[in-house]
Amino acid sequence: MDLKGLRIKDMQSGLAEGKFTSVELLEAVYKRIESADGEVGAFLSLAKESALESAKESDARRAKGESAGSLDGIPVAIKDNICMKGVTATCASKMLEDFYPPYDATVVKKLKKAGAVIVGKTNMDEFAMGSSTENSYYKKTKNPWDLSKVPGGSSGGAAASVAAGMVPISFGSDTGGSIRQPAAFCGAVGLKPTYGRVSRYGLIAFGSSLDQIGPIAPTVEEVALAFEVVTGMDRYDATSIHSSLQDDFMDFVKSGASGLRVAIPEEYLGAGLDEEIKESVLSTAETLKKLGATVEYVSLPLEDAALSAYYVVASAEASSNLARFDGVRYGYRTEEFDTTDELMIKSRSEGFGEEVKRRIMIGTYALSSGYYDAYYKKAMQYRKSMEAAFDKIFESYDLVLSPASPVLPFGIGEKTDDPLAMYLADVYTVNINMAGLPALAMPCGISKAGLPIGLQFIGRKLEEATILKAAYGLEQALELPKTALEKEGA
Amino acid sequence: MEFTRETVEHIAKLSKLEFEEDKYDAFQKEFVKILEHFDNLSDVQLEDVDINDIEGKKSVLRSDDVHIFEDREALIRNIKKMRDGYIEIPKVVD
Repeated sequence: MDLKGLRIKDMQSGLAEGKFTSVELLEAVYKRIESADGEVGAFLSLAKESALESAKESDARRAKGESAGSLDGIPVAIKDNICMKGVTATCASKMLEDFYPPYDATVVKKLKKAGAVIVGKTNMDEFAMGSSTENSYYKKTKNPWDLSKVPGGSSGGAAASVAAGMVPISFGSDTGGSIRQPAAFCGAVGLKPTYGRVSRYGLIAFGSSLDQIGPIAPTVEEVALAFEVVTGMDRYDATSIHSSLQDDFMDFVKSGASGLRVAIPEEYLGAGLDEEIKESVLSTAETLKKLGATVEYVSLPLEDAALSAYYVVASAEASSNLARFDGVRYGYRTEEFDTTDELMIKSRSEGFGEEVKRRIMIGTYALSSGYYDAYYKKAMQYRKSMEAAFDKIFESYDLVLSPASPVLPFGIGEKTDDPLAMYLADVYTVNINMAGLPALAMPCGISKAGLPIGLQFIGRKLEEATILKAAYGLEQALELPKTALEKEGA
Repeated sequence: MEFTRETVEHIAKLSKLEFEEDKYDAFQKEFVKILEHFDNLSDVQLEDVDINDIEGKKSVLRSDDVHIFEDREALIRNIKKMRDGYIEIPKVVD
């Protein structure tokens, strides 16, 4: 069977009508991975045995006329910082090379309960720190649209696995844009839910007050379906929100963009933004108007300070979170040492990669005696003022529209020597995590060079449905290729 | 304050990390650039923002009840060394 152009609803009807079984669907997925992943490098490990088991169970249920849920028999992939029992969770780090989680993350538990077949773990920047997946200890992932380009990061493997037509859903994590930027780079749809909307239990922590798990898929409908399965209050995550989705969630998402009030911050279209991306976003705004939405320009300062505040907070939390990797409890342990100090220093220095060490150092500095007020406190104050600025806009508008990234997918190796330049490319995404808001990235055009261009919808807290509704309406109107397999000339 | 090579060494010590000799100087140059960028935080008027004000938010506590983690084998799988049913760890007291 051919997976090309096969959406989840086609898989569901194919399974229901007996055109193929879940086991056959899984075999097709592995065949596709086998033929394409040598080049793309989206996966770090495959969970063939447990996946086959799940697929068989799904087929057995179907034979009896039963169903576990909306994803019964559907293959999905998860990022390698999400724990699944019995399969390594390396975070693409040497530090966790042989770490086998003793439990399933809540997201994994929910996916299994809905009948999903988890096929494997995807590549990422080490500990989710990066914007190109070049910081993986194991391999570089390539952009399926152009193999000389990066897929974005840190969920680059997740976005590439979807764009290369290997799986219909891939779960990533987003601390400062790590779902949205790779989705934009790979021409896919990626949702970062409201902070607290999806349980972080079993997600290996980077910046705990910013991290959020979310889906990447070829279409808005598939993202909505995946989000519906994993959202919900979880007693194992202290920051989990007590709130559930509206009953008519899917119908609401498909009800069109008409009547929505959309704001475009003028400052977001200023200097530093690629001309082609700007044109594409502006023409998308016109399309939204034709669909019956109102689009207006507003002022929302986009300050360099926002990036500083984000990198201070994220690095401070990372330096604390990563203190647990001490060579004693779990993770990599150095071969030879004399003292406890040496054991820790050598284990950490040998086990962590360069970017991780850089962030630990920045975070440690920002939290160190004498500098806390100048950096961390200031950053937290900035964070709060930004939340208020967004609240103000949402008094008059339902959504904010912006580019997802100021640049098009760049070449592999092009930016690795300048960490600051790499940080600056996160300008449109980091604010959203700081404010705890939901946001979605989706394709809005194709560049002259044939690369995907992405935009971002930002919504009020807990209003993922409104974002998805606008995105769904727009997607129907734009009719862009859904994966790299469907691009012109492919 | 000036961000010197000594500062890098001090931060590395606090972070429990060590680097190749030439890396300290490279880090120092990189950090000066990054910290210069961070200084733009001081240009924003933020004195009035109280980060401890949590109006509109509610803390929710769950009941403190015990749940037994059944799978002992899965936990033990990550342990580097076992001897006679005991966990063997490196000597951490000098």
